[in-house]
Amino acid sequence: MVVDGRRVPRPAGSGLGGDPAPAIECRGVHKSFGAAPVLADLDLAIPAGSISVILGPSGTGKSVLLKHVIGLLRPDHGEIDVLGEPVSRMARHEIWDLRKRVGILFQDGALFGSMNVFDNVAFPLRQHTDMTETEIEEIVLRRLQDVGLAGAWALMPGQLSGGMRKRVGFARALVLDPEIVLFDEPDSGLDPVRTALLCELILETHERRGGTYVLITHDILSARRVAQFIALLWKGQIQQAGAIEDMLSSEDPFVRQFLSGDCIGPLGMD
Amino acid sequence: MSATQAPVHLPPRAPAPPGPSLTDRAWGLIEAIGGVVLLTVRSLRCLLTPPWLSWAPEAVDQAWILIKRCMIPTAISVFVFGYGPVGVEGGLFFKALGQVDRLGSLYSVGAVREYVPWVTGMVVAGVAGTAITADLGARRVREELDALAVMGVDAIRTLVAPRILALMLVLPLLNLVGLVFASLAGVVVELQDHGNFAGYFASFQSGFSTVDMFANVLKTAGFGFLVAIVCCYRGLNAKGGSEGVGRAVNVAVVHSFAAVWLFNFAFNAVYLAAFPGSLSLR
Repeated sequence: MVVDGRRVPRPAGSGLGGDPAPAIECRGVHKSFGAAPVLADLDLAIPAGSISVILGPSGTGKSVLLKHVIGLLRPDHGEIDVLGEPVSRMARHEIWDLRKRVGILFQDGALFGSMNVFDNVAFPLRQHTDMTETEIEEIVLRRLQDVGLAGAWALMPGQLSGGMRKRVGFARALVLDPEIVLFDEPDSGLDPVRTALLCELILETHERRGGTYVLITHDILSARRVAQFIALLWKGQIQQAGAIEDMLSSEDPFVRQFLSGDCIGPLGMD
Repeated sequence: MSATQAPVHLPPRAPAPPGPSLTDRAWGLIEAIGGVVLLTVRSLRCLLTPPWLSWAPEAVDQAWILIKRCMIPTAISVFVFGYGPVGVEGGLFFKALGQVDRLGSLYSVGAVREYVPWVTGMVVAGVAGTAITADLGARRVREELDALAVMGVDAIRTLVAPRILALMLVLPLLNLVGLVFASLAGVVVELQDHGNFAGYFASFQSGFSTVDMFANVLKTAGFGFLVAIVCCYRGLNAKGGSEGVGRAVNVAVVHSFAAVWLFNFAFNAVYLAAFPGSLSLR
């Protein structure tokens, strides 16, 4: 739907104000590397069924938080629940089962260099399902069509542009129909037009398929384009979180400065 | 009239950042040893638990790649080492003692027990070990390993265990090929300098022992394991982009060389203590 000339995602399923159970919940999550704390008693609840954006300046622990959500890192203390499952206390094989319900688009796509586009997208299906090659082919080509790359199935990752790699990564993240899709800086390394197109693709896909999407970025324009829910991360803590309308009208000086990209405010070069 | 040239002022150089302290280095070493032990345990668990043989296709692929990459360098290195330092220099020494017919035993004992496994270990660490670290390190910095983990694929089972197995099989095999080339180097030296083939083959045969051969194969399998585990560990823990991968490769080759030397020394000490008869030349 379009509001004030701006495309706004339609709340899907149990979105904001709907189901009280969040898709992802962090309680008092703390993580240090050496002496430096990256996440400091962080609390966050990501609403189910919505597109959420975790915004924050570079080096504030956004990617570290994302790795905690998928169990690639474990917190020093604190709890993380994903789809109601306590990731921070799960055994390795339980985490692997949970990860099948979560798709992730890494910063540069993280495509397997030795496989072509088709095999990259087909990889999760071959790994986790008993589908025949004909069924896999049908699904993979449909997903590639969704991201506008049906004609590129035979190309190797080295032959793709940055934007194409991200779209292939997106198709791969979606191929198992995950309940949660995580995006680690989907706009990094893309020009503004390609960033806008990728945001449009994320919105369209979410409208069509539903689910919980979480984007991690420091790009305010991308956040404004897609977000229903925004959480601001700074110095390892969520400074403020809420529906986009509330955040855009917030009087908090940090939120105002960050969302307007202003020089004057509590956020400095240090 | 010549114009005076303005002096060129180079920009000031930034002071080099301080390196890690001795304590940090010691902790780093302890952490690395602990990491290698943990990786060993996890790899063995993958090899010895179901799904059975899930690592087999990758292990076969890796073994074939290793053979293709290492066969010619191993053959050349072993031949050159066997021809020069062992054959020509050792031959001159025997000639001075009037014992040129003993040259064969230098190959059947020295080559089998010491220098062919050692040279093969060095070549494999330098050629295959670095390739393994670079491959895994590049996958780490491109987040491919994270992507595998997110898709529920155990990188230890699919990438590390097959490489360990491949190196443990291929290194003894290359070493056997190396023994052939080392013996060939002895024949060339004999042909060129001495011409006493009967003496060469007689002393070669009398010096050869089956126990030595078994120990040789066991030792090179150990080299294969050490090179694989050290190089995989360094690759999996590479960080800091392409520069970090380069650093990981550098550290991996130094550590795997050191591991091969230490293991070689310990193995030979135990072997000679267990089979004291091997100390005497036959």
